[in-house]
Amino acid sequence: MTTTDQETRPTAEDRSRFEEVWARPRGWRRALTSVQHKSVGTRYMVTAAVFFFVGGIQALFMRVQLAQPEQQVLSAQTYNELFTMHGTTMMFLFAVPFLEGLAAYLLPLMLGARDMPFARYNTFNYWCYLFAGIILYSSFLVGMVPDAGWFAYVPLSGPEFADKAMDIWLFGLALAELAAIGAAIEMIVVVLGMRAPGMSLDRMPIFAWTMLCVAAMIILAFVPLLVGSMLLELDRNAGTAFFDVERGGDPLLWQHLFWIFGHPEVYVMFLPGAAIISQVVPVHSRHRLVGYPFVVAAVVVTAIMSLGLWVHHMYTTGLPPVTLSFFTAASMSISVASGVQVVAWITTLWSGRPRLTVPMLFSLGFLFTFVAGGITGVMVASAPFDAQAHDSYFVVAHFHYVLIGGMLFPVMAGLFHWWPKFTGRIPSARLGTVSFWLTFAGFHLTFFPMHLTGLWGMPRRVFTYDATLGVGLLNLLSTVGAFVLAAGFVLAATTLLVALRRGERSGPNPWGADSLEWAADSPPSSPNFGRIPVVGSRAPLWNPPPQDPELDGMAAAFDHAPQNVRATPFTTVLAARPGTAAVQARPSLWPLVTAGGLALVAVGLLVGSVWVVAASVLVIVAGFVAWELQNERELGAGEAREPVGGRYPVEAPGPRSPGWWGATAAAVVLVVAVATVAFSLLFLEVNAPVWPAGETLGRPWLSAGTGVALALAVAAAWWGSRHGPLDHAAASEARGVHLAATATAGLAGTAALALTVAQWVTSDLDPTAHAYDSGVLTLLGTQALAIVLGLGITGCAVVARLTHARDVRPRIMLQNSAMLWTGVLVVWAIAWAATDLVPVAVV
Amino acid sequence: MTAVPAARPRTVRAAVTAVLVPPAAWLAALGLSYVVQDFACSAYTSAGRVPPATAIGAVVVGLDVVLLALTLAAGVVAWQAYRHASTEHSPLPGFLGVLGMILSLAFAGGIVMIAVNPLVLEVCA
Repeated sequence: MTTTDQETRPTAEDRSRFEEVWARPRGWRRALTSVQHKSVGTRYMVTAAVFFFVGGIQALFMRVQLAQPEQQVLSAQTYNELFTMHGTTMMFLFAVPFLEGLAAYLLPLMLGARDMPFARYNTFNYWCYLFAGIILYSSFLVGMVPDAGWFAYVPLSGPEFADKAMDIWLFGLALAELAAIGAAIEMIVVVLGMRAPGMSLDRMPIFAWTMLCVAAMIILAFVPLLVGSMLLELDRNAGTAFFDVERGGDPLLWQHLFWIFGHPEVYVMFLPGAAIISQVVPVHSRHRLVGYPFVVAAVVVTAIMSLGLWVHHMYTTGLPPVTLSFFTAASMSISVASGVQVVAWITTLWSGRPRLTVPMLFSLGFLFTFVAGGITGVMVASAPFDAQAHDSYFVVAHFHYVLIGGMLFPVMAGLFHWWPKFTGRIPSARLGTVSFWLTFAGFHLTFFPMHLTGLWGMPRRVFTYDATLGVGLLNLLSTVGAFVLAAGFVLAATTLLVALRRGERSGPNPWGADSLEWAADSPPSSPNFGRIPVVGSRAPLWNPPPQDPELDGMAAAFDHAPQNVRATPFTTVLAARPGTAAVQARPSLWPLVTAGGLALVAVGLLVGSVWVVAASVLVIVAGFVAWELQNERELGAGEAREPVGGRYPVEAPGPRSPGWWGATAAAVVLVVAVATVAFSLLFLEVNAPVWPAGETLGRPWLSAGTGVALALAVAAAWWGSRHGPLDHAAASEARGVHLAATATAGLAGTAALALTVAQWVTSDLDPTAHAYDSGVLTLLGTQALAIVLGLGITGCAVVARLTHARDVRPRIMLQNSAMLWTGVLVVWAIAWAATDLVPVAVV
Repeated sequence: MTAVPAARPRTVRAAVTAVLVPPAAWLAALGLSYVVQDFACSAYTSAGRVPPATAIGAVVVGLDVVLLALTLAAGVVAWQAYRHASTEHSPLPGFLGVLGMILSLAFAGGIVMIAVNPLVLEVCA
C-alpha cells in the first residue's frame, strides 16, 4: 500500500494504544463477551459443523433402516422423528448458519473493514441461533421429538395431530429465523457501507455481491416463515383458525407461507456456494474470473427469481393450470442464470493454469454434481413430470444433488481454501485429496441410485418398503454410499483439525490469491488491518494500488487509528469514496443476556408458566437497556476527540451512518411481516367457501386516530433529527428540541398503542370463532408490536440525548427513530387496508 | 494506476435506476399475474359465481405488457448510460450500464414467459 508524502506515521505508542483498544478479552470473558466478527463467525461455523455431524448420524440411522426391505431397526415413529430432525438440522441449524458464519468471518476481511457494523447484534444473533438448536434438541431429552417433517405441513402439525413436540419445533425455528434475519441486516450494511476506500461496486468480490443478494432474500423470504410459525402457534395454543377449514381457514396457506420461504432458502444455500466457487476457481486457476458482469447479473437474476418459484413445490395441490404455468415459466428461467455461472467457471478454468489443489478438487466435484442436480431440477420444474415424481425418492435424489453439490462441496472447497487464513496453517493435501474422493464417490453412490428408486415407485418419508418393489439392491447401494460419504467428511474434518497443530505454517497469502482478506495476517489480528487497504481494481492483490490522494488520505487517517474507540471507515454506497468513521462495538455480555431472555420466553411458553415468561421479559428489557447505555458510552468516547484524522466525523446523519441502514432494514422487516399477515388474510378470504360477507373492522375513527398519531410520531422524530450542529467542536444547541421531539414521538406512539388496543377491545371479534376474526386481531397485534418497537427506539433516542454532550448522536438516533416510525406507519396502512378496504372490494 | 474521473451524477443515477427496474418489474409481473388470476378466479368461484375469465386474462396480459415495456426501457437507459460512461472513461457507471442491459434482457425474457400463459391456457380452469 502506498502512502502520501505528507502523512504522519503512527508512533509505537499509537500502535500500542490501538492494539489495546482492539484487545480481545481473555479466559471466560472471551467465551461470553467477545463480539468480534472472527470470533462470532468461528462460533457459527463450529456450532453448525457440530449440528452437521449430528444430522449426518441421523441420516446414517435412516439409511441402515432402509438398507433392506421390511427391516425393523427403527420403528416408524422413530424414523419419522429422525427424518424430521435430519431435515430441520441440516436446513435450519447447519446450512444457513454455517454460511452466515462464513460471511461474518470473511466479509469484513474481504471488504477491508475491521468488524461487522453492529457487532453486538451479530453476537446476539449467534446466541439466538445456539439457543434455537438447544431448544430443538431438548426435545430428545423430554421425549417429545418433532415428527411432522421439516416442512411441518398442516394439519399434520396442527393441534389435532401433533403434541407439544411441534411447539418445541416452532419456537426453536422462530429463534433460528430471528437470528438469520439479523445476520442478513448485518450483511447488507457491511457490504453497502463498509467497503475499503476505492472498492466501488464494479470492484467488489463476487462473494460480497452474492451475500448482499442473499441477505435481501433472507429478509423477504424468512420473515414470512416467521409469521407462518406464529400463525401456526396461535392455531395450536390460542385457538385461532388460520388453518382450520371449518372456521374459514385453509391448510394450503401454510404451504404457501412455508414455500415462500423454502424455495428461496435453496438459493440462500446455493448462491453462497456458487460464490465460494467464484472466489476459489480463479485463484487456483491463476486467472481472473471470466465474465464478471455476467456472473453478477446471474446472481441478481437467481436471487430475484428464486422469490417467485415457491408454487413449484405445490404442483400437486390442485392449483389451476395457469397458476402453475406462471411458476413453471419462472422455474425454467432461473436455470439459465445458473447456467451462465457454470459457463463463467468453465471458461475461467479453460483460460487459466489450473492447479489440482484440494479446494480445486472440491470445486470440480461441485461443478459435476451441481450440473447433474440442475438437470433434474429442470425436469421437476415441469408440472407434468413433477406430478409423476412428486414425493418419490427421485425428488430426494434431486435436492441432495443440488444441496450437497451446490452448497456442501463448495463449503469444503472454501474450508480448505481459507483454512490457512483462519488458522495460519495449511491442511495436508494428501489427506484432503483422499477425503475429496471419499465424499465424491460416497455421495454419488448414495444419491444416484435414488433417482431410480424414485422412478421405480418408492415414495419418500416411508420407514420401510416391500421387497416386491424391487428396490432393495438400490437401497443397499445408497446405504453403503452413505457410510463412504460419512467417512469422507470425518476424514476432511480430521485433516482440518490436525492441521491446527501440525499443518505447515502459511504466510499471509499461500495461494497467491487476489482479494483483500489475503492482505491480512494469517490468522488475522483483532482489527484485521492496522492500515486500511485502498482498492483500485477487482483483484487488488494482483494489481498495483491506485494513486488517489483522497483514498490514501483515508487510509492514512485510519492507520492504527483511532486509538480511543474501535472504528472503521464508512464509505459511499456506489463508489466507496471516503465518508465517515463507523464506531465498532467492544466486548459485551448483554447480547447473551437478551438472547437468553428470549430463549427463556420460549421455555416459559412451552411449560406454560406465566412467571417464567414475565421474568424473561424483564431480563430482555434490562438487557436491552444496559446494551443501549453501553453503546452510548462508547460513542461518547469516540466523539470526545476530533474527527478521525481531523477529517472523518465519528458518525453522521443519513446513509453515512450504519444506524440509518439498520433502522431502514428493521422497518422493511416490519413491513414484510405485516404484508405477510395481510396476504394470508386475503388468501383465506378469496378461498374460503364461507366468509363474513363485506365485513370490516368497523372502527374508522379509532383506526384513523392511530394513523394520525403515528404520522405525528414520524413528523416529530424527523423534526428533531434536523436540529443541532454536526461539527465535532460545536457545543450542543438543540437539547430542548431533541427532548421535545422525543417526548412528542413517545406520546404519539403511546396514543397509537392505546388506540390499537381500543380497536381490539371494542371490536367484538373472537379470534377463535372464524379465520376472519383471527386475521384481523393478528393484524392489530402485529401493529401493536411494531408500535412497541417504535417506542423502544424512541427511548434509545432519549438515552442518547441524556448521555451525549454534542448534538450529532441524538440527531442520528432521532433520524433512526423516524425511519422506524415510518415503517410502523406503513404497517398501519397495510393493516387498515386489509381490515377495512379489501373486505369491501372482494366479491 | 491513477484516480478514475468521477462520472456525472445523472449518468450514475440513470444507470442505478436501470439496474433496479428490471428485477422489480419481473417480481411485479409474476406477483400481479398470480394474484390477479388466482385470487380473482378463486374469489368468484368461492362466491358461486362464474368468473369473467376473458377480462381477467386481458388484465393479466395488459399488466405484463406494461411491465415488459418498462423493463425494455430500462435496458435502453442502461445502454445510454454505458455509452456516456465509455466516453467519460468512468468504469462504475459503465459496469452498471452493462449490468442493467443484461438484467433488462434476462427479466424481459422472464416476463414474456409469464405473459404467454394466459394466451394459450384457459384462465380460470
